[in-house]
Amino acid sequence: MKKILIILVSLTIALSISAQTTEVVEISPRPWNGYWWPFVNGGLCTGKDYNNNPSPMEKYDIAFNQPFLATQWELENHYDPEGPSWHGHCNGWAVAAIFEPEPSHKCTYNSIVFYVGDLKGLLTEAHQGAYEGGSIYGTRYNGDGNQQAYEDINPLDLQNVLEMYLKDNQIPILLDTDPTEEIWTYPVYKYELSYTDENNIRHCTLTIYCATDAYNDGILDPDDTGDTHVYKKTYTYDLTLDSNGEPVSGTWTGDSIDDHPDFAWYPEIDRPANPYISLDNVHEILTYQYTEEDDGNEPDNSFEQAHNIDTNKIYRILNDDYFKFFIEPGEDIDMNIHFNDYYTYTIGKLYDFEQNFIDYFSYDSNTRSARYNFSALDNVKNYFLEVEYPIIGYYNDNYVIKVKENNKNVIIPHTLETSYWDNFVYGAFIPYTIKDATTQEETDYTSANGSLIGVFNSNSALISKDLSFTAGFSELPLIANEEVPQWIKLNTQDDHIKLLSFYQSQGDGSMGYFYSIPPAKRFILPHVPPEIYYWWYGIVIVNPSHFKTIRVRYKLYGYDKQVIKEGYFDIPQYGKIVDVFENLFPDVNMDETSYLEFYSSDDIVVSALYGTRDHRELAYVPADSNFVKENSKVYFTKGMMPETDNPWAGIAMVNPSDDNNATCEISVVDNTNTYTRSYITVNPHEKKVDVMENFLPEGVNFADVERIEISVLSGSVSLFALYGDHDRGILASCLPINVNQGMVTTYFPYITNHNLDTTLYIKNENNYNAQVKVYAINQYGEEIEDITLTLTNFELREIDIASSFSNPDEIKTLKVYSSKFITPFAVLTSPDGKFYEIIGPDFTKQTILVENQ
Amino acid sequence: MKKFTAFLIILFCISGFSKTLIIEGNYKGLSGKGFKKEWKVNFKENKADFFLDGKLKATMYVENGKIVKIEEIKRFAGKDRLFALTKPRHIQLELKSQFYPFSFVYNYLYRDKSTKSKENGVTFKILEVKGQ
Repeated sequence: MKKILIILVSLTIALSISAQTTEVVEISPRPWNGYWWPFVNGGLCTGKDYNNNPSPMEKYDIAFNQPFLATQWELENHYDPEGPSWHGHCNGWAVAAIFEPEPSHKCTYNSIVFYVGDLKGLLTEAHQGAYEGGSIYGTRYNGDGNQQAYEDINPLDLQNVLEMYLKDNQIPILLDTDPTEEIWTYPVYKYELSYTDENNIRHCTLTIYCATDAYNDGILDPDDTGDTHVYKKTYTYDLTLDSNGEPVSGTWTGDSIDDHPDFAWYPEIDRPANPYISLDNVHEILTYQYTEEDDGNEPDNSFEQAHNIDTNKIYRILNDDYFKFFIEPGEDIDMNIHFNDYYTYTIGKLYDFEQNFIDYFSYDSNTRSARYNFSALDNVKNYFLEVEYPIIGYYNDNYVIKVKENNKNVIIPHTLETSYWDNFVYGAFIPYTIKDATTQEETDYTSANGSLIGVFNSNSALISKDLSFTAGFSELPLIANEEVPQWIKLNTQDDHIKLLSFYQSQGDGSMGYFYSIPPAKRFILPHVPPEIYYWWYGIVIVNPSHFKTIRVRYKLYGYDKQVIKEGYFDIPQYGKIVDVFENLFPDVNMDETSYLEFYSSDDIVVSALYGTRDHRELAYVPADSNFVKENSKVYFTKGMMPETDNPWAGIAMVNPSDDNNATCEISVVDNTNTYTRSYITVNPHEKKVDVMENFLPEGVNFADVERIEISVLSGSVSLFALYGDHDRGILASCLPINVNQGMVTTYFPYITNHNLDTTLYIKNENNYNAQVKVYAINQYGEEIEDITLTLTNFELREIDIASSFSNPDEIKTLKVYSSKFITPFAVLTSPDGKFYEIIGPDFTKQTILVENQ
Repeated sequence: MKKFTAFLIILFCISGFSKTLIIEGNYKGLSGKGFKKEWKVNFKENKADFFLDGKLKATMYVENGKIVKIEEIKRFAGKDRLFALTKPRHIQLELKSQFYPFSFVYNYLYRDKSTKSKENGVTFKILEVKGQ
C-alpha cells in the first residue's frame, strides 16, 4: 500500500511539471546595424573613430550651404572627450534603425560623397531627439536609488511587450538593456521563449536578438550594410500562474536579477536633437546616386588656375589640385590635408609663387593627415599648394584642408583712412591676468613681441615685425605699403598685449576709440539708437581668418521680443563689412529694432559705432560675447558722468536667451552707503533701456547715488552704459565693471600728443578712506615714480599728472593699485574741450584677458 | 436593478453623441527634459480618434464601457504601419505607456469627467471641449 502511495505521489509530481514549450518569433525586415557615435569621440562632427575629415556633419553643412552650423552645434553638445563613456547616440541610431530603410549605397549630393556610414550617422542624428517622446513600458532607472525602477521592467510586462509588438504586429521594439542609470538601447527583432510549468510557476528562458551598433567591445564599421553581427542576450524569470494557467506576475531569476532590461520603448515622434539637421534633407540625399564628378571648387589643374584655400569648403579630387595662400610674420600655423580614406597616401607639395618646389607635406599619425608647419617668416609670403592623389582607382574622394593657428592675435576691426579723421593706435604689455573677482595674477616676465599686420581687401601686408611691447604704452605705426589698411591685426605668442585705436574728427571734435577684443562666435549689440536725424549707427563685422569664407548670421529683435529680420552675410577671407544700419538693413526701421545678434560657426569680431550727424559725438561699443552670467555682480559708477552742466548716463540691458528669464537684483548705493534693492525680470529677448536715474526705485534721489550694482540671480544679460553731454558733444561708452573684491591693478595710457591731455580719476567706492598708489611707468616698462593717495569716503579724485610727478614727459603708462574697492578711469581731453573720451578700468567684463577665445 | 438601468442610460447617452476634445499633454522625456504636445480627440459612436499635429495617430474602441481595441499608427522601415491591440493584458499595458491619453480620455468620457490628470509622469489637461 505504501509503495502504491509513493508511486501515486511521484505520478502527481511528474504530472505537475509540463514539457518544455518553445516559441520563436522573428520579424522582417530586421532593423539595421549602425554605430552609436559615442560623445567621447564626437565622430559625427570630428570624424574620429570613423572616416576622418570631412566628417558626416561637415559634409551635411556644406551640401546644404550652412557652414558649419550643424557641425558647431554637434561639437558643443555631442562631443565631450571627458564625459561619461556611455554617452552617445545609441538611442538615435536605434530609432533610425527601426524607422528608416537601411541606406545601402553611397550617394553624391552637391558634389559631396556621402558614404553609407555618413548616411546612417545623419539619420541617427536626425532621430536623436525622438528619445524625448515615445510609448514607454517600465520606468527608467536614473541612478537615484529607486529600487522599484531598478527592478522593473517586470518580466511579465516585457514578455507582453514582445508579444504585442513582434508576435501580434510584426514591429520591433527598443530595449534599454542596462538596468543601471546607463542606457544601452537596441532594437529587438527576434526572440526565443522557452518555458516549463511547475505547479503554478512557469520557469522561463528568454533570448532576444537585436540589431547592433558594436561587437566584441569593438566598433562596428558604420559603413557596414550586412547583418552579420547580432546583439543577443538571454534572461531567466519565473511567472506565477492563476487557476486558469494565465501568468499574473513575474520575477527575474538567476543572473537576470541584476542584469535585465530597464525599460522598453517605441518612439512616437520624429525629432533631431541637432536643430540644424533636417530629416527631409537627409532623405533628399538618399534619393541621389553616386556619381564621379569634380565639384567646381578646385577646377584648378595648374598654378595659373589655383584658387585661394578655403578651409570651409569640402573638395573632391579627380586629378591634381592647386591652391594658393599666404602666411604672415608672427603666424605659427599647421596646415593639414585630411582625406576621408587612404589618408596615408595623401601628398601635399609646397611651392613658392615663382612655382619653385619647396617641400612635401609629411604624414602626421596623430591627425591622420598630411601636415606642414609655417612660422618665423620675415614678410608676408605667398605659396602654392598642390594636392596629389597617387593611387589609381581610388580617386574622387572628399578632402578638406584644415588650419590650426598656434599663435594668438589681437584685432582692431576698424581704421579710418580719410583726411577728416586722425586715427592712431597705442599698445602695451599688460603684465597681469584677471582670474576672477578676487584674483589678479602677475606675469613673471615684463615684455612681449608681436608683428603688426595691415589688411587690405582680403590680403595683408606687414606694418612692422617684432615690435616689442612693455608696460609703457607706445604709439604704433599704422601704414603699410604707404596706406592706412582697412583693419589691423597683431600676431603674437602672448596673451597680454592690449591695443587701443583712437579716432578724432578734424572738424567738429568727435572722438572715439576701439580696444582690442577677442574674436567669438556669438555677439550681441544691446542697443540700437532711435532713428532721428541726430544719430547715426554703424556696424563693423570682420572675418579674422585669411583661410576661409565665413557666414555670419544675424537676427534683429523688435521691442515685442520677436525677430523682425534675420539673414546672413557671407564674408570672404579677411573681409570686413562696415556700414550704417540703414544700408545694411534697408527694409528695417531703427526705431522698431531693439537689439541685434550676430553668430557664426567661425570666430568673428563685431562692434558698433554711435555718432551724431553733426560729428560732435562718437562712441564705439564692442559687441558683447561674454554676457553677465548667473551669480555675477557688476556695476556702473555715477562717477564717470562728465563734470559738465548737463551730463547724462544711460543703461541698456538685454536678455539674449531664447528660453530663460533673467532675474537681476538692482542695488542702488548712495552716499551714506545705503543699499536700496529692487528686482527686475527680463524676459527672453527683452531689452530694458533708460537713463540711469530711471533705474532707481522710488524714493531714491539720483543726486545722492554713487553707483548702481547689478547682480544676476538667474539667466544672463548683456549690458552697457553710455555717458554723455549733448551740449558739450561728449559721448563715451562703458561695459559693466566687475565688482572687484580684491587687489586692483590697472593700466592707463598717458597720452599727451594728438592735441590731448590725460587726466586720471579715481573714485573711492567705499564709505571709508581708501589708500591708492599711482605709479608712473616709462617707455621701457619701468616704474619711475609713485605717489600715494588717500581718498575719503566716496571721493572722486582728479589727479593732475603733470603736477603730481616730477618727470611727466617720461610717463607712458599710469598704473593704479589699491586693495580697496575703487574705480579708476582716465579721461582724454583736448585743451579747447572739443575732444573728450573716457577709458574705463581694465576689469570690465569684456576685457578679462584670460578668456581669450 | 436601478443601478443597471442607470448604467444603460449612461451607455446609451454616450453612444449617441460626438465630442471633440483638445488636450494638452505635459511630458517629461527619457532624458528628463520637459515638452508639450497638443492632442485633438474626436469621439463618436464609441470610437475615439487621436490626432497629433493634424495626423491620425491612434484609435480607441469602447464597447459596453470597456476599451476593447486600440489601434496606433507606428512608423517602421520607412512606412506607417497599423499596430493593433485587442488582448486585455496588452491593452492594460498600453494604457500605462506614458504617451497616448487613452485612459485620460476614457476616464473623462466614462468615469469621473476629470479635466486634469497626472498619470505615469504625464499631465493631461483638457483645453477645450466641443460638441454635446
